[in-house]
Amino acid sequence: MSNQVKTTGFTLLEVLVYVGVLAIILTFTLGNTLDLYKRVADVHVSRDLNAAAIVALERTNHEIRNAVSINNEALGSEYQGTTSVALALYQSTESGTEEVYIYASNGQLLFQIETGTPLALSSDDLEISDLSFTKMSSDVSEAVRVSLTMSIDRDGVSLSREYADTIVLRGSY
Amino acid sequence: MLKRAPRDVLGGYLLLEVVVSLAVVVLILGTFTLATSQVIRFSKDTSNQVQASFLLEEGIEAMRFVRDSGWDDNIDPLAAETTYYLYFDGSSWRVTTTPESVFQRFDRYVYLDEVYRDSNDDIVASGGALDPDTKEVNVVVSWLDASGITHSVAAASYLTNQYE
Repeated sequence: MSNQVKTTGFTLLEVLVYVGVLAIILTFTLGNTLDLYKRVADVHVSRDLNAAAIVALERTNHEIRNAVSINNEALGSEYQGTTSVALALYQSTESGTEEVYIYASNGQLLFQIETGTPLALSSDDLEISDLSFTKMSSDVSEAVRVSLTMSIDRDGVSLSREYADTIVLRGSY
Repeated sequence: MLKRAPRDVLGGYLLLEVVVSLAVVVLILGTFTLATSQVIRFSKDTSNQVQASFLLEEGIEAMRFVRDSGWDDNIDPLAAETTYYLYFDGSSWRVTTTPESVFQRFDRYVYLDEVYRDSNDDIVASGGALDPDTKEVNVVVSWLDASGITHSVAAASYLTNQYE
């Protein structure tokens, strides 16, 4: 009889230990999985922010590098001293000089050629703030320092990063 | 049709077997979780790398602009293989010996190396004659990631005394 009990199932103690171990594992796994989900969401959002920053800044840098000179007057009152919230550049094209603008509107970074339709350099789920352009002049060249903050708030993840770059206008030499 | 094994032959699992198999499961899950968090940790640092890459570009461009503002005044007085920092005073770039941090996260420094040229005027790593009108400019941007590990990116370019 005692032999039969030993081979056909668990003792109460065994079941308790088993359940206990299972509970610990489940808690551990569940906690980790939830944490992982949060981190994955975090990574997705930050990846989008990184990609957006690269697109916006590389395009801005490219336009500045290509430019011949900076138009100080073009955006009038928006200029404060030599630092501005909008940038007006003269670029040399086959058909003559063209004026291009880079500025922020409703939290989006926009690029515009002459009086053409503005082209968005950042998607609308991103917020561009503290955009500033600082003009620098030397005897032989001009340069622009760009600085901006990009923020994203999505899937319960809120991120904000500052970016800065300086580009010498290659056409200004 | 499945034939049910006689209960007394199968005899159920031993507690030891249960614990060992659970341990294996935990080990697999643990390794997977650890590997995933490691990947996540590295990808989280990508945001710092994106910021740093623009600061690095800025370092090279700022040095170029400093050169444009006068080789004799700005580049020539800088000692080779000495660490300098870039300081933006609100209207232009200055080279300083005071450490400057950017966005309270990044450290950026520059140093110049002497340039030597051979008889064909080609730049050589060693030998050749010193070219006082060319400097190799090096920019390094470094930062600490969330786990306290230092990362850095570096770039180098040449500056020449072509406007004076």
